[in-house]
Amino acid sequence: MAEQGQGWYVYCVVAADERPQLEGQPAVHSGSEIRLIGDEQLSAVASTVPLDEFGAEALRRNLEDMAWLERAARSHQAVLDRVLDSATAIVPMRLCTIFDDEEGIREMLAREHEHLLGSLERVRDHSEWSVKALADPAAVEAAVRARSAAAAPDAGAAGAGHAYVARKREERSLRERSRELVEAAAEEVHARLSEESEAHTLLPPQRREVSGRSGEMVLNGAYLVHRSRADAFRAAVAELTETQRGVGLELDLSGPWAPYNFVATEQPA
Amino acid sequence: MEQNTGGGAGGLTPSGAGGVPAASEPGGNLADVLERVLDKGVVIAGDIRVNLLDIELLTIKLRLIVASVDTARRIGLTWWESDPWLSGEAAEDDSRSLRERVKRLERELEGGQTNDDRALPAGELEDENRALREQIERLERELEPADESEDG
Repeated sequence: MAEQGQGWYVYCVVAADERPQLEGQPAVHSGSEIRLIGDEQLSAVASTVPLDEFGAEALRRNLEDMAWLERAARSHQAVLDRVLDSATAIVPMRLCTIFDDEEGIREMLAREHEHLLGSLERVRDHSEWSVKALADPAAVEAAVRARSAAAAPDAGAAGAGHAYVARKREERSLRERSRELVEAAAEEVHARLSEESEAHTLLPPQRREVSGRSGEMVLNGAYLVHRSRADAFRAAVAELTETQRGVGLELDLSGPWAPYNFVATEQPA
Repeated sequence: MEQNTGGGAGGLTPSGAGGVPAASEPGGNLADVLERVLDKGVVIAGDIRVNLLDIELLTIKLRLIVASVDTARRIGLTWWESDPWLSGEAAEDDSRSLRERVKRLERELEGGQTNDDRALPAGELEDENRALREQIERLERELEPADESEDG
Protein backbone atom coordinates (compact mmCIF):
# COMPACT_ATOMS: atom_id res chain seq x y z
CA MET A 1 0.00 0.00 0.00
CA ALA A 2 1.19 3.49 -0.82
CA GLU A 3 1.86 5.74 2.13
CA GLN A 4 -0.88 8.24 2.88
CA GLY A 5 -0.88 11.90 3.78
CA GLN A 6 1.78 14.53 3.38
CA GLY A 7 5.18 15.49 4.66
CA TRP A 8 7.28 18.65 4.65
CA TYR A 9 10.28 18.92 2.35
CA VAL A 10 13.02 21.30 3.57
CA TYR A 11 15.29 22.96 0.98
CA CYS A 12 17.45 25.16 3.16
CA VAL A 13 17.61 27.22 6.32
CA VAL A 14 17.97 31.00 6.57
CA ALA A 15 18.04 33.46 9.45
CA ALA A 16 14.55 34.45 10.65
CA ASP A 17 15.04 38.09 9.62
CA GLU A 18 15.61 37.14 5.96
CA ARG A 19 12.75 37.74 3.52
CA PRO A 20 13.43 35.46 0.55
CA GLN A 21 11.20 36.19 -2.43
CA LEU A 22 9.55 32.92 -3.37
CA GLU A 23 6.36 33.94 -5.19
CA GLY A 24 5.72 31.74 -8.20
CA GLN A 25 8.71 29.50 -7.52
CA PRO A 26 7.84 25.89 -8.44
CA ALA A 27 8.20 23.47 -5.53
CA VAL A 28 9.69 20.00 -5.70
CA HIS A 29 6.10 18.77 -5.83
CA SER A 30 4.22 20.88 -8.34
CA GLY A 31 1.27 22.75 -6.98
CA SER A 32 2.67 23.11 -3.47
CA GLU A 33 3.46 26.51 -2.09
CA ILE A 34 6.92 27.21 -0.70
CA ARG A 35 6.75 28.61 2.82
CA LEU A 36 8.95 29.69 5.71
CA ILE A 37 8.57 27.70 8.91
CA GLY A 38 10.59 28.52 11.98
CA ASP A 39 11.22 30.24 15.27
CA GLU A 40 12.61 33.62 16.37
CA GLN A 41 16.04 32.96 14.93
CA LEU A 42 15.81 30.47 12.11
CA SER A 43 13.50 29.76 9.18
CA ALA A 44 13.30 26.62 7.11
CA VAL A 45 12.32 27.05 3.46
CA ALA A 46 9.86 24.21 2.96
CA SER A 47 6.90 22.88 1.00
CA THR A 48 4.47 20.00 1.40
CA VAL A 49 4.98 16.75 -0.47
CA PRO A 50 2.62 13.77 -0.83
CA LEU A 51 3.96 10.69 0.94
CA ASP A 52 2.86 8.39 -1.86
CA GLU A 53 5.69 10.02 -3.80
CA PHE A 54 8.05 11.20 -1.03
CA GLY A 55 7.51 8.64 1.72
CA ALA A 56 10.44 6.39 2.63
CA GLU A 57 9.23 3.50 0.51
CA ALA A 58 8.30 5.62 -2.51
CA LEU A 59 11.60 7.50 -2.31
CA ARG A 60 13.62 4.32 -2.49
CA ARG A 61 11.85 3.56 -5.74
CA ASN A 62 11.80 7.10 -7.15
CA LEU A 63 15.44 7.83 -6.45
CA GLU A 64 16.30 4.90 -8.70
CA ASP A 65 14.45 6.60 -11.53
CA MET A 66 16.86 8.93 -13.31
CA ALA A 67 14.09 11.14 -14.72
CA TRP A 68 12.46 11.55 -11.30
CA LEU A 69 15.84 12.18 -9.67
CA GLU A 70 16.77 14.83 -12.22
CA ARG A 71 13.44 16.62 -11.81
CA ALA A 72 13.76 16.61 -8.01
CA ALA A 73 17.41 17.69 -8.05
CA ARG A 74 16.73 20.55 -10.45
CA SER A 75 13.69 21.81 -8.50
CA HIS A 76 15.67 21.66 -5.26
CA GLN A 77 18.53 23.55 -6.88
CA ALA A 78 16.21 26.13 -8.44
CA VAL A 79 14.61 26.91 -5.07
CA LEU A 80 18.04 27.40 -3.50
CA ASP A 81 19.05 29.66 -6.38
CA ARG A 82 15.97 31.76 -5.84
CA VAL A 83 16.53 32.05 -2.09
CA LEU A 84 20.18 32.94 -2.68
CA ASP A 85 19.03 35.88 -4.84
CA SER A 86 17.35 37.58 -1.92
CA ALA A 87 19.05 36.29 1.24
CA THR A 88 22.46 37.13 2.69
CA ALA A 89 23.16 33.61 3.94
CA ILE A 90 21.67 30.20 3.32
CA VAL A 91 22.45 26.72 4.58
CA PRO A 92 21.48 24.18 1.90
CA MET A 93 20.01 20.82 2.91
CA ARG A 94 20.75 17.62 1.11
CA LEU A 95 18.16 16.37 -1.39
CA CYS A 96 15.02 14.83 0.14
CA THR A 97 15.24 16.03 3.74
CA ILE A 98 11.63 15.46 4.79
CA PHE A 99 9.68 15.87 8.04
CA ASP A 100 6.32 14.55 9.16
CA ASP A 101 4.88 17.96 9.97
CA GLU A 102 5.68 21.58 10.79
CA GLU A 103 6.35 20.58 14.36
CA GLY A 104 9.07 18.19 13.16
CA ILE A 105 10.79 21.07 11.35
CA ARG A 106 10.65 23.31 14.45
CA GLU A 107 12.11 20.54 16.59
CA MET A 108 14.95 20.11 14.10
CA LEU A 109 15.67 23.86 14.09
CA ALA A 110 15.79 23.87 17.89
CA ARG A 111 18.00 20.79 18.01
CA GLU A 112 20.44 22.06 15.35
CA HIS A 113 20.20 25.67 16.46
CA GLU A 114 23.85 26.28 17.25
CA HIS A 115 25.20 24.36 14.28
CA LEU A 116 22.89 26.13 11.80
CA LEU A 117 23.60 29.60 13.20
CA GLY A 118 27.33 28.91 13.00
CA SER A 119 27.08 27.80 9.38
CA LEU A 120 24.98 30.83 8.44
CA GLU A 121 27.53 33.12 10.04
CA ARG A 122 30.35 31.49 8.15
CA VAL A 123 28.78 31.87 4.71
CA ARG A 124 27.07 35.23 5.20
CA ASP A 125 27.51 37.41 2.10
CA HIS A 126 29.47 34.69 0.38
CA SER A 127 28.59 32.43 -2.48
CA GLU A 128 30.19 29.45 -4.07
CA TRP A 129 31.77 29.50 -7.51
CA SER A 130 32.70 26.43 -9.47
CA VAL A 131 35.72 26.38 -11.76
CA LYS A 132 36.52 23.34 -13.85
CA ALA A 133 39.59 22.93 -15.99
CA LEU A 134 39.22 20.78 -19.09
CA ALA A 135 42.22 19.59 -21.02
CA ASP A 136 42.04 18.88 -24.72
CA PRO A 137 44.57 16.04 -25.14
CA ALA A 138 45.40 16.97 -28.75
CA ALA A 139 45.94 20.63 -27.88
CA VAL A 140 48.08 19.74 -24.86
CA GLU A 141 50.27 17.46 -26.95
CA ALA A 142 50.55 20.12 -29.62
CA ALA A 143 51.71 22.58 -26.94
CA VAL A 144 54.31 20.09 -25.71
CA ARG A 145 55.50 19.43 -29.26
CA ALA A 146 55.75 23.12 -30.01
CA ARG A 147 57.83 23.64 -26.88
CA SER A 148 60.33 20.96 -27.86
CA ALA A 149 60.19 21.12 -31.67
CA ALA A 150 63.81 22.15 -31.99
CA ALA A 151 65.05 19.33 -29.78
CA ALA A 152 63.27 16.52 -31.70
CA PRO A 153 65.73 13.83 -32.84
CA ASP A 154 65.75 12.67 -36.45
CA ALA A 155 64.31 9.19 -35.98
CA GLY A 156 64.60 8.30 -39.66
CA ALA A 157 68.39 8.39 -39.62
CA ALA A 158 68.78 5.24 -37.54
CA GLY A 159 67.92 1.69 -38.64
CA ALA A 160 64.35 0.44 -38.52
CA GLY A 161 64.65 -1.11 -35.06
CA HIS A 162 66.36 1.94 -33.69
CA ALA A 163 63.71 4.20 -35.17
CA TYR A 164 60.97 2.10 -33.61
CA VAL A 165 62.54 2.24 -30.16
CA ALA A 166 63.24 5.93 -30.51
CA ARG A 167 59.68 6.54 -31.56
CA LYS A 168 58.26 4.62 -28.60
CA ARG A 169 60.53 6.52 -26.27
CA GLU A 170 59.46 9.80 -27.79
CA GLU A 171 55.78 8.89 -27.42
CA ARG A 172 56.21 7.96 -23.79
CA SER A 173 58.08 11.12 -23.12
CA LEU A 174 55.41 13.15 -24.94
CA ARG A 175 52.74 11.62 -22.75
CA GLU A 176 54.70 12.30 -19.59
CA ARG A 177 55.42 15.85 -20.55
CA SER A 178 51.76 16.42 -21.44
CA ARG A 179 50.78 15.15 -18.02
CA GLU A 180 53.29 17.38 -16.31
CA LEU A 181 52.16 20.39 -18.27
CA VAL A 182 48.50 19.79 -17.43
CA GLU A 183 49.19 19.14 -13.74
CA ALA A 184 51.28 22.27 -13.42
CA ALA A 185 48.62 24.34 -15.19
CA ALA A 186 45.78 22.96 -13.04
CA GLU A 187 47.79 23.62 -9.88
CA GLU A 188 48.53 27.15 -10.98
CA VAL A 189 44.83 27.82 -11.62
CA HIS A 190 43.81 26.37 -8.27
CA ALA A 191 46.51 28.27 -6.37
CA ARG A 192 45.53 31.58 -7.94
CA LEU A 193 41.81 31.07 -7.32
CA SER A 194 42.46 29.99 -3.74
CA GLU A 195 44.10 33.36 -3.20
CA GLU A 196 41.07 35.09 -4.67
CA SER A 197 38.64 33.29 -2.34
CA GLU A 198 37.92 32.91 1.38
CA ALA A 199 37.87 29.12 1.27
CA HIS A 200 38.30 26.43 -1.35
CA THR A 201 37.86 22.74 -1.85
CA LEU A 202 38.51 20.22 -4.60
CA LEU A 203 35.75 17.92 -5.82
CA PRO A 204 36.48 14.70 -7.72
CA PRO A 205 36.81 15.53 -11.41
CA GLN A 206 33.85 14.24 -13.39
CA ARG A 207 34.31 11.65 -16.07
CA ARG A 208 33.55 12.81 -19.57
CA GLU A 209 30.46 10.58 -19.88
CA VAL A 210 28.76 12.48 -17.07
CA SER A 211 30.26 15.94 -17.39
CA GLY A 212 28.83 16.29 -20.90
CA ARG A 213 31.85 18.40 -21.73
CA SER A 214 34.48 17.77 -24.30
CA GLY A 215 37.98 17.46 -22.91
CA GLU A 216 39.19 15.70 -19.81
CA MET A 217 38.42 17.33 -16.47
CA VAL A 218 41.62 17.88 -14.53
CA LEU A 219 40.34 20.34 -11.93
CA ASN A 220 36.93 20.57 -10.27
CA GLY A 221 37.33 23.34 -7.74
CA ALA A 222 34.74 25.05 -5.51
CA TYR A 223 35.55 28.49 -4.12
CA LEU A 224 33.79 30.48 -1.43
CA VAL A 225 33.88 34.13 -2.48
CA HIS A 226 32.63 37.23 -0.67
CA ARG A 227 30.12 39.30 -2.62
CA SER A 228 32.49 42.24 -2.69
CA ARG A 229 35.17 40.10 -4.33
CA ALA A 230 33.00 38.29 -6.87
CA ASP A 231 33.97 40.60 -9.74
CA ALA A 232 37.67 40.23 -8.94
CA PHE A 233 37.28 36.47 -8.81
CA ARG A 234 35.58 36.41 -12.20
CA ALA A 235 38.26 38.66 -13.63
CA ALA A 236 40.92 36.25 -12.34
CA VAL A 237 39.13 33.36 -14.05
CA ALA A 238 38.96 35.33 -17.30
CA GLU A 239 42.66 36.11 -17.07
CA LEU A 240 43.58 32.48 -16.32
CA THR A 241 41.38 31.36 -19.22
CA GLU A 242 43.54 33.43 -21.55
CA THR A 243 46.88 32.28 -20.16
CA GLN A 244 45.96 28.58 -19.95
CA ARG A 245 44.44 28.29 -23.40
CA GLY A 246 47.97 28.11 -24.78
CA VAL A 247 48.59 24.82 -23.04
CA GLY A 248 45.31 23.24 -24.11
CA LEU A 249 43.32 23.96 -20.93
CA GLU A 250 39.81 25.43 -21.00
CA LEU A 251 38.24 26.89 -17.86
CA ASP A 252 34.55 26.57 -17.15
CA LEU A 253 33.11 28.96 -14.56
CA SER A 254 29.65 28.57 -13.05
CA GLY A 255 27.92 30.31 -10.20
CA PRO A 256 26.96 31.81 -7.90
CA TRP A 257 25.95 28.56 -6.19
CA ALA A 258 24.48 28.16 -2.74
CA PRO A 259 27.47 27.33 -0.51
CA TYR A 260 26.94 23.55 -0.63
CA ASN A 261 30.62 22.83 -0.14
CA PHE A 262 31.18 25.22 2.75
CA VAL A 263 28.66 24.18 5.36
CA ALA A 264 29.52 21.33 7.70
CA THR A 265 28.06 18.20 6.19
CA GLU A 266 27.86 16.28 9.44
CA GLN A 267 26.70 17.49 12.82
CA PRO A 268 26.98 15.95 16.27
CA ALA A 269 24.35 13.26 16.78
CA MET B 1 16.39 30.37 -13.78
CA GLU B 2 14.21 27.35 -14.36
CA GLN B 3 11.14 27.87 -16.49
CA ASN B 4 7.85 27.08 -14.84
CA THR B 5 6.03 24.99 -17.36
CA GLY B 6 2.97 24.77 -15.15
CA GLY B 7 0.96 21.60 -14.71
CA GLY B 8 3.18 18.65 -13.89
CA ALA B 9 6.53 18.79 -12.23
CA GLY B 10 7.97 17.85 -15.62
CA GLY B 11 9.33 20.18 -18.23
CA LEU B 12 12.78 20.37 -16.71
CA THR B 13 14.49 18.53 -19.50
CA PRO B 14 18.03 17.21 -19.31
CA SER B 15 20.47 19.97 -20.00
CA GLY B 16 22.32 20.17 -23.26
CA ALA B 17 25.12 22.22 -21.65
CA GLY B 18 26.38 23.83 -24.85
CA GLY B 19 28.77 26.72 -25.21
CA VAL B 20 28.47 28.92 -22.18
CA PRO B 21 29.61 32.50 -21.74
CA ALA B 22 31.94 33.68 -18.98
CA ALA B 23 29.89 32.28 -16.08
CA SER B 24 27.13 29.76 -16.61
CA GLU B 25 24.19 29.71 -14.25
CA PRO B 26 24.18 27.05 -11.57
CA GLY B 27 21.96 24.19 -12.55
CA GLY B 28 22.78 24.16 -16.23
CA ASN B 29 24.71 20.95 -16.03
CA LEU B 30 22.99 18.00 -14.36
CA ALA B 31 26.22 16.45 -13.11
CA ASP B 32 27.12 19.74 -11.38
CA VAL B 33 23.73 19.83 -9.67
CA LEU B 34 23.83 16.19 -8.58
CA GLU B 35 27.33 16.33 -7.17
CA ARG B 36 26.10 19.10 -4.89
CA VAL B 37 22.54 18.17 -3.91
CA LEU B 38 23.41 14.51 -3.32
CA ASP B 39 26.87 14.76 -1.83
CA LYS B 40 27.06 18.19 -0.20
CA GLY B 41 24.93 20.47 1.89
CA VAL B 42 23.97 19.85 5.48
CA VAL B 43 22.86 16.34 6.36
CA ILE B 44 20.11 16.54 8.91
CA ALA B 45 18.10 13.48 9.71
CA GLY B 46 14.54 14.16 8.67
CA ASP B 47 11.57 12.16 9.90
CA ILE B 48 11.53 10.25 6.62
CA ARG B 49 14.68 8.17 6.68
CA VAL B 50 16.25 7.44 3.33
CA ASN B 51 19.96 6.84 3.13
CA LEU B 52 21.07 8.15 -0.23
CA LEU B 53 24.02 5.78 -0.06
CA ASP B 54 21.61 2.85 -0.16
CA ILE B 55 20.17 3.91 -3.47
CA GLU B 56 21.58 1.61 -6.09
CA LEU B 57 21.27 4.01 -8.98
CA LEU B 58 23.10 6.70 -7.09
CA THR B 59 25.79 4.32 -5.98
CA ILE B 60 26.34 2.70 -9.31
CA LYS B 61 25.70 5.44 -11.81
CA LEU B 62 26.82 8.51 -9.96
CA ARG B 63 29.67 7.24 -7.87
CA LEU B 64 31.15 5.32 -10.75
CA ILE B 65 30.86 8.11 -13.24
CA VAL B 66 32.44 10.59 -10.92
CA ALA B 67 36.09 9.63 -10.80
CA SER B 68 37.08 8.11 -7.49
CA VAL B 69 40.14 10.16 -6.79
CA ASP B 70 40.75 12.75 -4.14
CA THR B 71 42.46 15.53 -5.96
CA ALA B 72 43.05 16.80 -9.43
CA ARG B 73 46.71 16.09 -8.95
CA ARG B 74 45.92 12.44 -8.41
CA ILE B 75 43.80 12.10 -11.52
CA GLY B 76 46.63 13.68 -13.45
CA LEU B 77 48.44 10.42 -12.98
CA THR B 78 46.02 8.29 -14.92
CA TRP B 79 43.76 10.27 -17.13
CA TRP B 80 45.82 10.05 -20.30
CA GLU B 81 46.04 6.28 -20.11
CA SER B 82 42.37 5.77 -19.32
CA ASP B 83 41.24 7.94 -22.20
CA PRO B 84 39.95 5.56 -24.92
CA TRP B 85 40.06 8.31 -27.48
CA LEU B 86 43.68 9.07 -26.81
CA SER B 87 44.80 5.46 -26.62
CA GLY B 88 42.92 4.91 -29.90
CA GLU B 89 45.01 7.65 -31.47
CA ALA B 90 48.16 6.12 -30.08
CA ALA B 91 47.23 2.70 -31.47
CA GLU B 92 46.62 4.27 -34.86
CA ASP B 93 50.08 5.81 -34.84
CA ASP B 94 51.62 2.49 -33.87
CA SER B 95 49.74 0.70 -36.61
CA ARG B 96 50.85 3.20 -39.25
CA SER B 97 54.48 3.04 -38.25
CA LEU B 98 54.44 -0.76 -38.18
CA ARG B 99 52.84 -0.89 -41.61
CA GLU B 100 55.63 1.29 -42.98
CA ARG B 101 58.20 -0.98 -41.42
CA VAL B 102 56.64 -4.08 -42.95
CA LYS B 103 56.73 -2.47 -46.39
CA ARG B 104 60.36 -1.57 -46.00
CA LEU B 105 61.26 -5.06 -44.77
CA GLU B 106 59.37 -6.62 -47.67
CA ARG B 107 61.26 -4.47 -50.16
CA GLU B 108 64.50 -5.51 -48.51
CA LEU B 109 63.51 -9.18 -48.67
CA GLU B 110 62.52 -9.00 -52.34
CA GLY B 111 65.52 -7.00 -53.42
CA GLY B 112 67.89 -9.37 -51.63
CA GLN B 113 70.66 -7.89 -49.56
CA THR B 114 70.59 -4.13 -49.43
CA ASN B 115 73.52 -1.86 -48.96
CA ASP B 116 72.36 -1.22 -45.40
CA ASP B 117 74.97 -3.04 -43.35
CA ARG B 118 72.66 -2.95 -40.35
CA ALA B 119 70.07 -5.13 -42.16
CA LEU B 120 69.11 -8.34 -40.41
CA PRO B 121 69.77 -11.80 -41.95
CA ALA B 122 66.88 -12.95 -44.18
CA GLY B 123 65.54 -15.53 -41.71
CA GLU B 124 65.29 -13.01 -38.94
CA LEU B 125 63.68 -10.54 -41.30
CA GLU B 126 60.96 -13.03 -42.17
CA ASP B 127 60.32 -13.76 -38.52
CA GLU B 128 60.15 -10.11 -37.64
CA ASN B 129 57.95 -9.40 -40.61
CA ARG B 130 55.47 -12.05 -39.52
CA ALA B 131 55.47 -10.76 -35.95
CA LEU B 132 54.84 -7.25 -37.18
CA ARG B 133 51.93 -8.37 -39.36
CA GLU B 134 50.34 -10.06 -36.37
CA GLN B 135 50.86 -6.95 -34.32
CA ILE B 136 49.25 -4.79 -37.00
CA GLU B 137 46.23 -7.09 -37.19
CA ARG B 138 45.83 -6.96 -33.44
CA LEU B 139 46.13 -3.19 -33.36
CA GLU B 140 43.61 -2.83 -36.16
CA ARG B 141 41.16 -5.02 -34.30
CA GLU B 142 41.62 -2.86 -31.21
CA LEU B 143 41.17 0.29 -33.26
CA GLU B 144 37.79 -0.61 -34.72
CA PRO B 145 35.64 -0.06 -31.62
CA ALA B 146 37.51 3.16 -30.91
CA ASP B 147 36.75 4.42 -34.42
CA GLU B 148 33.06 3.73 -34.00
CA SER B 149 32.89 5.55 -30.68
CA GLU B 150 34.45 8.59 -32.33
CA ASP B 151 31.49 8.97 -34.67
CA GLY B 152 28.56 11.04 -33.53
